[in-house]
Formats: sequence, C-alpha cells, structure tokens
Amino acid sequence: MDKDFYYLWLTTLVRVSLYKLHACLDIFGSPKALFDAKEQDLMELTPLTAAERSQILSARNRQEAARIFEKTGPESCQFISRIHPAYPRRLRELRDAPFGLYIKGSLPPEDRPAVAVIGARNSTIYGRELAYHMARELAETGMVIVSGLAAGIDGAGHRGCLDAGGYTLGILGSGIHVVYPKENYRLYQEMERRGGILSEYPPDTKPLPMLFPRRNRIISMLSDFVLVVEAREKSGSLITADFALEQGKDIGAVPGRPCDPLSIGCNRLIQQGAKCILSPEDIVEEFKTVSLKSGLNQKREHTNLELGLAPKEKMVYSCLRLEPSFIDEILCQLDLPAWEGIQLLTELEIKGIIKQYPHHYYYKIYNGE
Amino acid sequence: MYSNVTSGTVSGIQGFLIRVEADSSEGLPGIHMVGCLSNEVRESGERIRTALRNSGYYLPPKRIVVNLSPADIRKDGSGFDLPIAAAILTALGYLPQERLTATAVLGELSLDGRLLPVNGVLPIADCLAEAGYQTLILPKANQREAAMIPQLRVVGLNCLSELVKCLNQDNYLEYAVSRGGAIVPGKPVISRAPYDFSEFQGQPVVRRAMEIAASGMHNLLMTGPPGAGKTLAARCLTGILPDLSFDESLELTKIYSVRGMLKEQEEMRWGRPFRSPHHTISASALIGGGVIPKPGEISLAHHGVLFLDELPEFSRHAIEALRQPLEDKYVMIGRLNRSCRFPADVMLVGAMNPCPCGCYPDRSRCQCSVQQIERYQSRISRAILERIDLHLGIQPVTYAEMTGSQPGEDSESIRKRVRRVHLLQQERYRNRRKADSASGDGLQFNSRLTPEELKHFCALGREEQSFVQDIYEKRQLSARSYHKILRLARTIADMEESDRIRLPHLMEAAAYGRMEPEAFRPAERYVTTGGAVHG
Repeated sequence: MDKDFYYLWLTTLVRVSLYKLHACLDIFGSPKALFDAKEQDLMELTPLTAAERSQILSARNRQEAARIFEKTGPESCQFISRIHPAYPRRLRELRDAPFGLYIKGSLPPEDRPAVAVIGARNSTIYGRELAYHMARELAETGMVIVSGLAAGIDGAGHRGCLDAGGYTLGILGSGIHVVYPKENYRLYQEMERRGGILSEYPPDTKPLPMLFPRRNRIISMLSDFVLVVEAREKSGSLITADFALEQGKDIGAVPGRPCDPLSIGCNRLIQQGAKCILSPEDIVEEFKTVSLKSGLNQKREHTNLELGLAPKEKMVYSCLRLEPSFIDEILCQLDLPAWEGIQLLTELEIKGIIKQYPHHYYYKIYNGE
Repeated sequence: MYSNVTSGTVSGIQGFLIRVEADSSEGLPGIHMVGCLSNEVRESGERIRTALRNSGYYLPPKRIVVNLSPADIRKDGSGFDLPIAAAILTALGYLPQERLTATAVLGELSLDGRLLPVNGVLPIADCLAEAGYQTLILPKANQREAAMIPQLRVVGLNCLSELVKCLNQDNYLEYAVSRGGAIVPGKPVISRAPYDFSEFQGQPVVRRAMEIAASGMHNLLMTGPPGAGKTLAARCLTGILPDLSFDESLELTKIYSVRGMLKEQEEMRWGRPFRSPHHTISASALIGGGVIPKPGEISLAHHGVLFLDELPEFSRHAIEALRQPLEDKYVMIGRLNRSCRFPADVMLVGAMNPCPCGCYPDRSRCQCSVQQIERYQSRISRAILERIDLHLGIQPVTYAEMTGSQPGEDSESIRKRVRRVHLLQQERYRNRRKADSASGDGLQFNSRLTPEELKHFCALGREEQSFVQDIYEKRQLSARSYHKILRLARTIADMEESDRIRLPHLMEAAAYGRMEPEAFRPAERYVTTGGAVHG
C-alpha cells in the first residue's frame, strides 16, 4: 500500500497526544511499522496508556483510514503527507509538524512572506476593522495572510486579504468538510476558490475544544510573523504566540488601553517583548530583505475623509469614534433636533465614511491614520 | 295561550335577534324548551320556575312549551332567562302581549328573582336598534352599556317583579325613567393614558421614532438592554394617538362587551386600548378562540397598541398566528357551525433584549458569542420582522439627560400633531377607501400601503431615486425593506406636510431599517461581498 496511507492513518488518531505518537514512531521507525506493530510490542515498548493503545488497535481494524484515503481527491480534498514533495517547506523540518494535511484550494506560495493575523472571536468592531485593514494593506504588498477561519478577528483578517486580491490561508480546528462557525460559510467558499484551507484532522472531524490549541501551532508554523490584534488575558491567540516563540517566529501585537479586557493579552505580549504594531508599515519593516510590492509607500488616496463635508456633517463626524457609540450619545453632543441628526448620520453613512451598527450605533471607518 | 318576546344573542361580536315563544295548554304539567339550546339555556327552566315562585307568581299545572327561534342558531349564554320568564308570564296572562311588540328583553335570573348582568349587551342592543326596536329592558348593571346606542330607550331593572309592575303600568316607560332609568348618551369621558411623554427625559431618538410610528400607525420593534425604558415608551404611545371616533369606540366597546370586560361605570371605551399580554400566552388567547369563539388580545387592542414585551420569549406558534391578522386587520375564527370575524387593527409594538445578557452591542459588557446572539435573535420569526417597519435601538438614559433642565414635550402637544397627520392621510386615501369598501376597512394609514399603491402615493424625484438606489446597493436591501423605507418616508413627509417625499425624509427613514447582528461587514469603501441589512 501507498506510504501516504500510513501517514493518513496517523492523522485519524486524534485522541492520542502528539508527543506520544512521536515517541512511538521513534521506537518503531516508520508509520507502517507502527501500523503493523504487535499488541504485545505496543504494550511493552511504548508509553501509551491502555485507552490510547486500544484506539490505535481499533483504528487499524476499522478500515476508516482506508475509506478516507479512497475519498480524497481533487473533487473532495487533497491529502498531502509529510513525505509528499508538495508538503510545505516551512513545516518540513519541524518535529511537531502534522503527519499530513487535508487541503482545499491551493497551497501557500513558499516564496512570499506570510503573516498570521489572529485575535479574539468575541472582538470589538474596532478590532475587526483594524484587522481587516492591516490584512488588506499587507496583502497589497504581496504578503500571505494566515489565520484560523474563526469568527471575529480571524475572519476579518481573511476578508481583508481577499478584498485586496491576495492569497489567504485558513487553518481549521475541525475536519475540512466542517464549516465552523457557520457564519463564515461564504468566506470559506471564497477561500476555497481564491486561497487555501487546510486541516490536519480527518475531513469529518467535529470541532472539539481540544483540537483548537493543537491547530494553533500550525498557524504559527506556516507564518513568518504573528500579529495579535485583540486578545483577552486567557486567549487561544496567546497559545499561538507561545508556539511562535518556541518556533522562533517574530511576534507583534496591537496595543490597547490597559484596562480594556480585550487588550490585556496584547499589552502583556508587548510588555514581554513583542513588537508594538501601530500600522502595517511596522510589519513591512520586518521583511526588509524580501522584495515586496511598493503598495504602502504610495500616498493613500483616502487620507482626509473630512474634505468636502458640509459644516454640519463635519460637526457630526467629529462626534464619532472608531468604536460604535449610541445615537443618543452622539446627538447630545450636538445641538440639533433628533430628525436632523438622524438625517446627517444617514448621509455620512451613504458617503461611506461612517457605518451603522445594529440598534442605532454608529462609528467612524478606520482610515489608516 | 300563546305569547312571544324578542331577545338577542351574539356570535362573535355580531348581535342576532332571537324570538322567544311560549304556549300554555292542557297536558302533563311542566316546562318544555326547544330550539337548538345549549346546556346553560336548557337548565334555565329550573331557574325560571323557582324565580317565578319566589317572586310570587303562581305557576298553574299546565304544559308550557317554550321555543327559541330561529331554530338553526345555537343559543348559548345566560341572557335568555328573563325573556323566557317574560314569555311565560305573558302566556299565563300576567303581562300584556301588546306592550312587548317593540320592546326587547335580556337578562339572567337568580333563584330569588333578581336580575344579573350578562355579557355582549352592546352588539345585541345595536342590532335591535337596527331592526327598529325602541325599548330594551335589561338588568340595571347593563344599562349604561346599552345606552351607548342613541336610538334605543334602555330600561334597567333590579328584579323580576319590577318587570311585571313596570309593564302593567300605563306609562310603563316613564316608570323606569323616574327610577333613574333611561340614560341618554352623554359627552365622552376620555380617560387619558396614565403615562405621559413629559415623564420621558432625554432619548430624543426614541421620542422621534414614537411620533413617526404613531403618525403612520407603523409597527415598531424596540431593542435594548433591560431598564432602557422600552415598556414606558410603549405605554406612552397610546397617549399620543388621537381620540377614537364614535364608530371606532362603538366597535371597540362591542369587543369588550362580548368578553365581559366592561366595568359598570365605564359605559364606553373612548381611550385607545393598550394591551400587554404576558409572553407565556397561547396562540388562541392572543388572536381569539374557544369553543364559542371569543376575541383575543389582538382584538382587545383594536385601534390601539398591542405591546409584546420580550418578543423572543413568546411561543413561535403564538407569534406565527399573528401573521394573518396583522396583514388583514381582522381575525377570522372558524368553527364547525359558525365562523366569527373579530376586528384587529392594531399597532404592534415589540420589545426585546438584543442578546441573552441584554448588553450587546456594548462589547465591554456583553460576552455573548455571535452564535448565542444570532440564536436569540432568530427566535423571532421572519414573518413578524417583515411586518415591522420601524426598528429602534434604545439605551438607558444617561444621568445628564435624566436631570436635564428642560422637561420633555408632553403627550398632549404631540397628540395634536399626530392627529393632523392622521387627518392628512385619511384625506388622501379617502377616494381609495371608497373604491375599496367592498373588501372592508380599506386604506387609512401609510403603513398599510401595498407595493402597488406605493408607486402611486410615493413617487420619487430624480435626486431621491438616485439616493434610494445608492442605499439599496450599499445596504443590499430586499424589495421588502425598500418598501418599508418608502412607507416611513411618506409618513415623515406627511409630518412636515410635504406633498412629495424629499431627500431628508428618505435619509431619516433609512436610519430605521433593521440590521443583522454581527456578520462582519468591511467598510463600504471597499465592499465586495458580505452584506447584512434585511427587513
């Protein structure tokens, strides 16, 4: 049988810890040898617990791996094992790298720098706007944006890259056929066409909480720089940052106010030595040696949004912030009747420089300054 | 001897005449009642026999047959006691038959001969007056209610013997009048809503939206955290709606009469009703139902406000049942042998929290996941959202607003403005209504405009059209939400007495659209995909 098959079989052992699997491989020498190992040997030679051992044994009998292996193909998803020539270079030399990858779309271009844009799922609108614009502008210079296809910051990062026409790679914490969260379904479809999606778990694996920290190591492995946009004190993004540190990758974080719960994680990273990222340029700087498209050096066309606004519109615009504020809050700063204030807000919205958020919240659009 | 007495019953809120005949003849003694009777009417025989004896009338040992016609209408309710007793007394010669020709009788008897009030008097009185009857004799407690019908002389009595005394006097009508009887309909006493907008500090947008909603009778959904003032705002709403016309309040009072919800002192419902059913309400309690169909909360809120607090908590079944009445403005309840039509022209006001914890979109306090928020919001059926024109976010007042120097405008002055807008609309839609009269109430308010009528009444200029196109594309509107914007803009234009819808009206109207919770939408300048305004 194909050598790839044994690597695929290893990926189905989701519940056995990576550390122990590697220990077993060291003992038996190759995946095939582990597959063929006698139960007696497994018991005597390896540190596996009884439950792990029985999982390995039953996975061998159930033929599940064979079924998955048959199903992979261009119309479903591709499987690339660790020994496959197309296996990403960034992963190759790492011991912890996945035994194989299930892939939809295309693999990331190896020659271009890759930046991971990660952060909280329950993020603020400000954080998402920021992630969107960072990713968008980095993608315009030709960088690859890597993230976890989760809600919140991750999704905003992917979206920003797609909108710039760049390549973006999503790494799932579930099987590749499982779209989680559902709200990202459209994003998922677009990335299938214009980017890449990959997972190290068998295609129909449900999104279990234990699977996510493990996939975070792949995010950092596949990128050259990890940017954390918003993170709480205990956040999955910080796990990714830890992996990045172990792997010797650079880390950056967007600072926030010290008391803001969604910025504590980022601020702490900066305190510990992560690069303080204020604009996309700060990241571009890290890649001086690489030749990038000079998208950022050009003067942006949308520098001054306030140009061409009527005095009253300017007045309303100046009352808005990057974070959504409630309409009553805005109106009480202005000396205008309610109907006029509402009109002006809609007008600014149509002009595209502010946005309405559900339930009459409004905010300024981040314009990179 | 044969006799007959006229009485009535109700089906839905429609009154019907019932003729009660009695005949006494030789035979096995007893009272035999026929004519499609329900149990409560059938057992009235025993009640009447005892009441007659206790009132001092001797029942001779004769066979008495009582018939209630027409025989194909099922008779239920307790109002037939008195007419049956009157028919028997007439057949036995205690009462003169000729005085009962233009007089109708209605009421329940107790064993000692006292008269007890019954429900549904007003629809019966109305149909009696239409049929040309001049007098209605009924229990004292129902007198004020029946007196709403100006063509009818209403005699309220306390007991059975009074009936005999009264009808045997030559000037029997004055008898009742001299006893403080007949009441002529007087000036309406309008009870004001107990909540006034002047208590409402700050929150200029809420005030504005309420006025727009009241002006065009637009359905409204308020979303905001607990304590933001959603309930207070809804309660204030009835206070800024114009007073009811006589016909409107007559219709409304009939509904309350059938439900037995009229207090003795309150002869007529002049104020706009405000109904706020609890969210555990069943579908049939909400829209009406029962073996004998009775109007539900939506009919009790006819011409007024139906307030559904905590909208997502209502059972899906109950909410779905609202679809047809919200569209047609009446409820049709079909039963095996009859179907009833209850008017239900309400302004629906919903209130809800934006998410399970109530704090969304304030993300510093709300930690609900996007899925949780979506799940919570999707509990409201699309069908209802489609029927809501105005979506309003609401937040608690700030301290500065609460203690602000100037008090808010009071309901009285807002009501005057709203009344003007209502008249304006009625004027505009008058011709349309006549053409439409076959199908019922027809068009009265901007919120009732159909897409076809919108083309006619909400024509836009070139500048306005390009704005609408702009917003249609930017927000990715559906046709339905586009119509909502037009309806709201029509109302806003009417508030300024502008014939045409102008740009500012559209801009304001567009701000009250519904936004989907959180789907990330990048800034419009870059938009390529993803969109979230629905309606």
